[in-house]
Parts: sequence; C-alpha cells; structure tokens
Amino acid sequence: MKHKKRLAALLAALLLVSLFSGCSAGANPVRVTLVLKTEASVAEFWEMLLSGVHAAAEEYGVELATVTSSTETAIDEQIALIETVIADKPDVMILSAADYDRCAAVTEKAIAAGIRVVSLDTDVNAEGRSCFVASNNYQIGVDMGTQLAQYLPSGGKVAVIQHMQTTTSGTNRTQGAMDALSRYPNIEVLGAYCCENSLEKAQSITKQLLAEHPDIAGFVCTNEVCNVAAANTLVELGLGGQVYLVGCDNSQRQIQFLEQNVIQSIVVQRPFNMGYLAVEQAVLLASGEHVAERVEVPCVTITQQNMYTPENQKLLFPVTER
Amino acid sequence: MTHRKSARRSRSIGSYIVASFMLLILLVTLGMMLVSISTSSRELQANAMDYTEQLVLRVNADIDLYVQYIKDISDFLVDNTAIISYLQAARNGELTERTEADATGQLAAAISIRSEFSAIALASPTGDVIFGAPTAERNTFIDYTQADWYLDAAANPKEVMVSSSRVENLIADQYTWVVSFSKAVTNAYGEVLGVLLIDLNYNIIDSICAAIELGSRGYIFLLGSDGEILWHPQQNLIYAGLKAENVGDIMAAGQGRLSSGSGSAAKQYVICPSRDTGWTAVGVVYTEELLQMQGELIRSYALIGAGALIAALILAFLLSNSITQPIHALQHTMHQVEQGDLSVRCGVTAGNELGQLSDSFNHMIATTQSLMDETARVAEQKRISEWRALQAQIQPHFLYNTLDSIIWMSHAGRNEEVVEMTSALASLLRRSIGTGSDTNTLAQEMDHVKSYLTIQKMRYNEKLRYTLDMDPQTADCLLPKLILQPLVENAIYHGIKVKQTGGTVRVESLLEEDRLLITVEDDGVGMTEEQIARIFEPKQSDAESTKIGVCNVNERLQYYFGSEASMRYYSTPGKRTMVMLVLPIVREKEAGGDEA
Repeated sequence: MKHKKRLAALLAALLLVSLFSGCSAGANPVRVTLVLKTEASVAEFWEMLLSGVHAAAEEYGVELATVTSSTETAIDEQIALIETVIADKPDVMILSAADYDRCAAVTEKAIAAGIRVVSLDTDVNAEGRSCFVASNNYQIGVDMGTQLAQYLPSGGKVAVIQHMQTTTSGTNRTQGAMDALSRYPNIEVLGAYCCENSLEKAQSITKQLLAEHPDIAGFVCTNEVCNVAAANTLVELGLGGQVYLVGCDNSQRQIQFLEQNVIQSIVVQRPFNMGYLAVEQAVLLASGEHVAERVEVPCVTITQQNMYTPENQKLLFPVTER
Repeated sequence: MTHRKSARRSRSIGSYIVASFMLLILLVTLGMMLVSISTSSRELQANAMDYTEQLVLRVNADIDLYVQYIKDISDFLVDNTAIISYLQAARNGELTERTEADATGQLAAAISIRSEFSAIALASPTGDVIFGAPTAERNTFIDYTQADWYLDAAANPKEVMVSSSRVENLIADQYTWVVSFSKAVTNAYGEVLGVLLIDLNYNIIDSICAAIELGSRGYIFLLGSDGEILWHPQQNLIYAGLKAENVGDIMAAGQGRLSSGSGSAAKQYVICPSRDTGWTAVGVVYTEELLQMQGELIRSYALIGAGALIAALILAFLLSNSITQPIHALQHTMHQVEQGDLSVRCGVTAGNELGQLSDSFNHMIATTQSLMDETARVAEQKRISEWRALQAQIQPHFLYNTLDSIIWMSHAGRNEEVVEMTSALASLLRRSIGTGSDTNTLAQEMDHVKSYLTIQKMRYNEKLRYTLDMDPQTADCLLPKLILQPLVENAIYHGIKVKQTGGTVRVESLLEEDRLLITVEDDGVGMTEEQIARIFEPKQSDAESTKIGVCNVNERLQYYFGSEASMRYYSTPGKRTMVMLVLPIVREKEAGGDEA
C-alpha cells in the first residue's frame, strides 16, 4: 500500500518532468493532391497556377501530389483520376473540375471518404465542397465589356467570341460581357459565338463575322484561344488596330499583339495567386480551421500604356522558376 | 493504535525528506536554467545576427564586384572607336555595313566574356539598334527612347545607370527578366550619340543570393535604390501581393538592424546598403528561429534538469528509506517489547546513529530482562526465606510451652501422656523440618494438625475439643506445606483460649465439584467485621502472636494456586468463627515434577 503510493508519487514526478521538458514532436505534413484538368504546359495560365501551388506547398510544408488528365474535355479520365485520389486518401483534394455536373458524384464520394475538397478555377456541383478559389468569371466578363465600351464612345456593333458553353468560365464571362455591353444603348451586341476552344474555329467565326458585318467595331474574347485567333484574323486581314479587341488571360502572343496594338486590352487573372491561395485554404482546412466558402482572386486590366509598369510587368512576365 | 500512529509519523518523515529534496533540486535547477538560458540565448541571438550580417555583407561585396565589372566593361565599350563611329554614322545617316559589323564585333566580343549577360545592345536616338547576340532582333513595336534606361543614361552621360529588375522588351520574342546597365556614348564634344545597354541576367543575382541560407526560413533580399524589391527568394509571392517586406521601415532605417512583425511572422532585418550600386542587401532572420534555438537550449537544459530531478528523487527515496526503515524495525521491536517479549532484538546493523540507537535499545532490553530475572529470583528467594522463617517462627514458642507441659506431666508421673505428647511433638517437628519439599498432601497436613491438636489438647484438657473429618477423596490433594496448622492455631488462641467454657475446633475437607473445600471452624468468641477485615493485614512485629500466619497462609496459597484459590473468614461474634479455603484440585501424581 505504502509502496504503491510512493510509486505513484515517483510516476507523478516523472510526468511533471516530462511535461516540463516539453515535447517537440512535429506534426505530420498536410497531404494535398491537386487534380488538374489539363497538362500545365498547354497554357501559361496553368504553369503560373502550378508555380503558385508549389510556392505555397513549400511555404506551408505541404506534401503535394499532382495528377493531371490529358485534355480539358477528358472528363471520364478525370473521374477515374479522382477515384485513385480517393484510394490514396489525402487530407485535401484541390480540384479543377473538367465538368461542373459530371464530376460531382465522384467528388461527393471523395468528401464522404473524409477528403476535404477545394475547387480551383472551375467549380464542381458537389455537396460539401469546402471552398472555391477562382477569379470571378462574371466580373471578368463585365470588365471586358466595360473596357470595350470605353473604346467605343460613339457606339457600334460588337460580338462576343466564347470559348466554351459547358464550363462556368465560358458561360459566366460571356454573361458578364453581354450584361456590361447591354448597359450602353448605342452599342449593338451581335451575340455570343462559341468556338469550342478551337483556334481554327475561332478564326473562322471572326472572319465570318467580319464578312457579314464589315462595320463591326469590336470583339470581346472570353479566353486566350479566342483572343489570339481574333488577333491573327485581324492581322491577316490588315485590320489590326482598326477593330477593337478586348480579351482575357495572359500569354506572350497576347502581349505581343498588345505591343502591336492589335489587342487593346486584356483582363488578366492571377493564376499564381489562385494556386497559392488554394493550397493555403487546403492547409487551413486540414488544420481544422474555418475557411471562407468562396475565395475570389481579383483581376487586372492591362493595356499597352500600363503593361510595363513595375507592378504589371511582374504580373505579365512571370519570373521563371529556379 | 499506538503502532499505526507512529507509522504515520515516520512516513511523514520520509515524504518530508523527499519533498524537501525535490523542492531544493527544482529550485536550484530552475534558477540555473533561467540564468544559463538568458545568457546563452542572448549570446546565441547576437551570434546569429552577427553571422547574418557577415553573410549579407558578403552578398553585397559579390554584387559590388559584379556591378563594378560591368561598369568597367561599359566604360571600355563607350570609349571604343568602333562604337562611337557607328553611332556617329547613324546620327549622320551614313551607316554602312562595315561600321555596323565593326561595332557588332565589339559587342559580340563583350557578350562572349560572360554567360550571365543576356544582352548587349547599342541604341541610337534614330532607332538604329545593334545587338551583341547575332540572333537578336529588335522588337519594333517598342519605343526604347522613352524607356527609363535610355532616358536616365542620356540625362547622366558620365554615369553608368543601373536599373532595377525589369522585363527586357527591346528584343523581339524575348521577355527576359534582367537588371540593365546603361551608359551614354558621347562624342568629343560631349554630345550624346546613343546609349550602350548591358542586360545582366536576373538569375545571376539568384545564384548569389539564393545560396545564402539563414536558418531554415531566413533569407536575403535586395532592394533597389528606390526601395523596390530587386530580388527576393519568393519573388512570385511578392509580385503576387501574397507576401510583403517592411520596405518603408528598412529604407527609413537605411542601415543596421530592425525588428518587424509579430508572432510567428516576427523577423529581424539586417540592412547593409552598398555604396557602389545604391542597392541594399537585407538579411532576414525569423525571430521564431532564434527563439527555436532558445527552445532547443531550454529543452537541453530541461533534460539535464529532469535528469537531476530523477536522480534527486531516487536519492531522496533511498535516503528516506535508509532512515525510515531502521526506524520501522526499531519501532516493531519496541512494539514487541511493549507486548512483554523481552527476548527480541532489533536487527538494524547500520553503522550510523540509527545503528547505535538500535544497539543501545538492544542493550536496554537485555539489561531490563536481566533486571527482571533478578527481581523474580530475589522475590522467590524472599518467599522461601519468609516461609522458612515462618516455620522457624512457630517452633520455639510452641516448643517451649510443650516441653514445659512434658516436664510438668513427667513430674506428675503421667508417663503415658508424656509418651503421647512427646511422640506427637516428634511427629510435628518431623513434618515441620520435613523433606525440603514445598508441598504436602492433605492427609499429611491433617496428620500434622492432629499431632498439633494432640499436644494442645493435653495443655488445655477439657477446655479444648476437636474433630478432624477428611474426605478420603481429598487425601492426596496437594497444598503448600503448613497451611492448616496456623489456621488451627489461630482458632485455638483467638477463639477458644479466651472463652471461659472452652470450645471445639472442627477441621473438615470435602470435594465440591472440581474444588477442594477445607474449613477450620471453632465455636469460640468469634470476630467482628472489623477484625475480619484486618485479619489479612500483615503484622509487623508480633513475636508471640501467630496471627502473622493468616497473611502468610493467604500469600502462599495465592502464590501456589494463583487467583483460583480463595480464603474467607465467616464469623458470628460470641458464637463461632470459620475460615474456608476453596482451592483447585492438584493431585500428587500431577505435580510429580514438584516432588522430585
């Protein structure tokens, strides 16, 4: 009895000592899997986004895995990829969904398996998705429409070249541009024309519109492909600088057209910030903190005049990764 | 009860020792730790900051060397005649392939010196540009005469201008991050003919700065002369607006050290400006990391402290045990002694005070025991001598009277009676002097009493009558020697002798249940209550009275039989007195050992 008491006292003292010395066991790193809908090399947008993801992963000590489906239209492939992610069971899945509805079921399955989901750039229609990090596509459309309207104080005919009808970026940007342009009574919007993200198709649409409406005053292009296609067509027809071209996204081709005044404005997203913030949200989620359901990454409107300011050249010309 | 109480007390001694020990060690360890940690961590932090400063200064020196080198090349090229001739020709609109080739050759030679040069260009105000690299084409959509590098150089013809980090857009299809060095080319009259541009690949700064490691999170970054960030390891984060440095405070401080931020973002800036470039190299050390060093320090000290505590704990237990265990042993022994067992000894053999205490205690028990043995022996001796004295006491007085009677009867010629009395006396004496045994059977006692009464009957004649009635079953019951005779003597002297008419003495024995009952009764004068009450008091000096016998008889009965024996007087004054002995039955064969 007495012996036991002493033993207890000894153990208590040891416990005290061990508390006192403190334990320095490091927490396990957060495991995050990024599911991209396209190879990063196809667009600077994705390269920048990926570099933002990597920067944040390094900053927060995240154990990052990346899986990528071959093309943006390979929805079944992405669904299969998400299945493998579920089997791997990371803490968080950052998903850039290839299809808002078709990827929903498998995403919900991942959520049910205890994986928290952050959607990046494009959203997914899944119940329980924790957070959506993206630019506001509708706002991008509004910015483009407003910018084009600025160039046309006396009004005129304009058209929207739309890259996709099945993704939120395609529909929301188009809607934003249409809404913004419709606010100007002397501007006539011919309509939105979808090129299905094909350069050739976008070029032919531009050509056809220019042929049907020779007095067309400007175009809004909802992504880089449409924008470059329209610029190519204008240069080809010798109309560079005569028809206003407002686009979005950021590529070297667009910058050169901007320098050449073929494109007047581009509304630039901040893919680096998107990637970075998505990982940041993932880390917050994994540590059990409450995160905002929507993280909006603001855009910048670039023109020939402001493209070489220190702030904007940093945005337009990414510093190459070491 | 006593045992438990004292056990609790000694436990509290043990825990008291342990607690004091722990407290002492804890206080000492904590004190030592606080002092050591505060001095060591201060030193560690100072060392870390000094080390950071040295690294930052080295970066500065490396960059200065580079910049100086490029400036030298710039100075060399702008004085080169081929360069001046080209610009002069461009100004005059007399450009020939020859002059262009000569100048391009100079630029190509310069660019080949260093791979870090991303471009060398010579630009005239008229829009004529030649490059060091043969593949480079001018980006015709850019008006370079409005670019900072051109304007600054033209405005300061004596100086080599250093730009901050920028995207070079002069070359078609190339948008490279560079740091641009530009210097005006002048003719003999000091007129600006054009501007020489040397682009230093931004990555070279990377290779200088990124190699520097300041802890696991610390880093170095470069500020331009206007406070813009030239190079930063997390350039993208800075540009993306996801991370910021406290540039305002750094530029305001200019030089030295600066603390910024709070919590895990708290950092220490070490600011070292360079005079050659106008740039400022800034080392960043996270306060948390400095504290982490402190944390490691604290941990190692804590580990030592914990070790000391554990050692102290064990020592304290050992010490307290070494004190309390002998005390417990001693206590246990004392308890046994308390219970009357004097044969135990305490086994504590420690060579310290406790051992001495144990030895003293053992010695004390031993002494006590021998004293008690001695006391018992003395008491026994005393009892024997008293008894012998009693035996001796009876004889002379009685003998004197009896012998007187014998003499008197002899004179009277009553020979028969003389014989009877003398033989009774002989029997009495034989019994008294006896065998040396302490006990007699009741039959022997009765015999003795009969001899005594025979003698007394001759003395008192008709005045004394007696009857002896012994139950045969009680004949072999043992009792201490000479118990009955004093009682009979008392009955005669104090009951019958003083009565005019004389009286009868009746001695009876019988078995009642498992008790031996012996009564000695006389119908003499009897006794009052007070007399009975005083009868057991020992009489001090009573040479003639045999009353001493009653007390003596009682004591000897008690001694022999213990509390089971009782002796009582019953008396009616003027009528009768009876003494009754109730004794346990001890038969001769049972007390065989005693006889031998």
